[in-house]
Amino acid sequence: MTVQGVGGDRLSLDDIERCFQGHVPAVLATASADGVPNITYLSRVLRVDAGRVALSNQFLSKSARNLAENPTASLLLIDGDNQDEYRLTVVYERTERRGQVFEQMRADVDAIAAMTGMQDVFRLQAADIYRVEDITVLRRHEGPDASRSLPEGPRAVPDVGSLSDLCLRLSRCGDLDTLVRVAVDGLAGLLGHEHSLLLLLDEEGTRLFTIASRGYDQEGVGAEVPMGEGLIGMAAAQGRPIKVGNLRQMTKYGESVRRAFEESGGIGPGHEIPMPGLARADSRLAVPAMALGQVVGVVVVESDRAAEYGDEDVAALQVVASLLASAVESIRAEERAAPVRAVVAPGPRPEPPAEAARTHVRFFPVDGSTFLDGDYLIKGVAGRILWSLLRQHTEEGRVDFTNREVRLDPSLDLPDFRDNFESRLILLKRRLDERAAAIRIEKTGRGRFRLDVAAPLHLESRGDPD
Amino acid sequence: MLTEQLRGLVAEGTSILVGFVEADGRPYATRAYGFTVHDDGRRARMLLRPTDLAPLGIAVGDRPGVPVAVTGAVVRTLDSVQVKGRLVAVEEATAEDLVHGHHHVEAFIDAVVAVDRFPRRHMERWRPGDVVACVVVIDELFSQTPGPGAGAALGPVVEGPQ
Repeated sequence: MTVQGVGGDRLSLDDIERCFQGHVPAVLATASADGVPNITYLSRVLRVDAGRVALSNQFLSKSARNLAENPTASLLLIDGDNQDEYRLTVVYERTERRGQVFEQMRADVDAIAAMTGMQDVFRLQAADIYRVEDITVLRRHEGPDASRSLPEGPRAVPDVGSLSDLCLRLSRCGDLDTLVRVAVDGLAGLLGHEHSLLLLLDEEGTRLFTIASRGYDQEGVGAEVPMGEGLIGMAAAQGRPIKVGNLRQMTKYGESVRRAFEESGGIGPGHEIPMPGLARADSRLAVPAMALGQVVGVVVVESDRAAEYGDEDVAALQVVASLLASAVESIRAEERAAPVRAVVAPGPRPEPPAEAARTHVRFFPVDGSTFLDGDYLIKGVAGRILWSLLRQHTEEGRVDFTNREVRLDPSLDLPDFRDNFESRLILLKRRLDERAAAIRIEKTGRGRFRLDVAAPLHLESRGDPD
Repeated sequence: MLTEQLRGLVAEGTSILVGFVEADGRPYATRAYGFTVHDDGRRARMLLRPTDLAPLGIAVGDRPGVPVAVTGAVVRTLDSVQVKGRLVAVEEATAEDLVHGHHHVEAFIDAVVAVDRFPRRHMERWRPGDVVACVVVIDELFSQTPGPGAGAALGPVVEGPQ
């Protein structure tokens, strides 16, 4: 469809395609039958086809009443790349509560809700479809500055060669620690994702924990996201990629709605999920890593540039995530199938340097929370693994262990069906490395590792049920 | 109280949206600058481009009395208040209007650049150029912050006769 613009320009919805990326909130004006106008912001406008747009219908009670009386509306849209602004005259046609347009819009609204902890209250009610009658230029810069204003354009399309190279590197990894390191390094070096996170699903299938990251001030190993919450949790819960290219605007709109819900008593304060990653991220892509039809974890990349990721990025990351999930499951299966190796006879325990300061390890059996010198280290299964190792180290002089024997320790409280031991051990290793702790874990072979202790230990168990 | 709330939300740097209705009943949206509330809390003044009034067939010197909706939104939070009233006069912008309008536009551009990180050079097109002053009689105030309370009446600004 082509409609008349200013000064004889003939503008089509193709010409204003970038207005539908959601970088700037849209504005909707309606009027009652007796001619009283109403003007408000909208969370989302999508292009439906060459002559129609869809508007999100959430809090439009007054607008909805007006449209029932007078179906014509006026829409302001801004091109988020260059700040050109257009006014569209539109006529309400119908409301959709299912179908492709509704689902696409619902995904966007769900993303806003997930980012601000409003999954239970902030939902798309309907997608209202409007016929476009006229497009008028309100402000448009003519000249060299009319080009994109964002710092850079979309990323280059990932090439098959780089993707193949990364897959080959991953396929050569023999253990989980190497696998996750090669993955985040390869995402940066081969696919250009400088900021990435890998998360794995926990034993109960209720939380995702960070096993590796790249490109952040803090590695954040062990940081958790509840299943279904935030973009990452939602990608895992729904088993589909979630891509957002306008995080700043979506967060701003979502936080405004959230405050309104709090003031109305609809939700309580303090439920917001801290988003791991870049403080100024504007694009984020979360892809579930699935194997055998089950979610194993989530691969996340992000950027401080808007609209950074395209369909090709989603496809490439799905390949990487699938390979990662299969590799993780293979490693776990191999660990579970491995025979119990003969316990290595304890040799003389290496004595830490005499001048080393004592490390105080405080352990809470109730949830496995473990603190080193008063600082939180880790909790859950990983905390119990460390406590088990340290007790054997101090009581028996043990330094060498096998995964299989440690896994059988009943004090770890591992579930039978999905014990995640290897990933918890790697999580523990990485947390100790991240903190430059006096206690370290070093792999000494497939299914074997060594506990290195470089300081005298003081072990304290608080509220020990024993 | 309501007047203070209104003044805060249409202060310098806010985004000011305006809705009119043409003679045939078609609504149209545009933007205003430098919205100021008179001391009586019942009248306000804002700047529009003359082209924004053209669809109404209104020009300087007219006293149209047409309905108008004006929504002021804080750029950082999208907290919004909507004024419902009537456009009662269109006048040449005074020097004071232009100074106030200039300050408003500068603050608005600063806010968008800071909050939304759009390059300043692209915000230059938001300077309105020629403007006229519009006098608005305020009848009612509504919350327009996105969320479940959007559209809730905040009440008349001042009780009593116009």
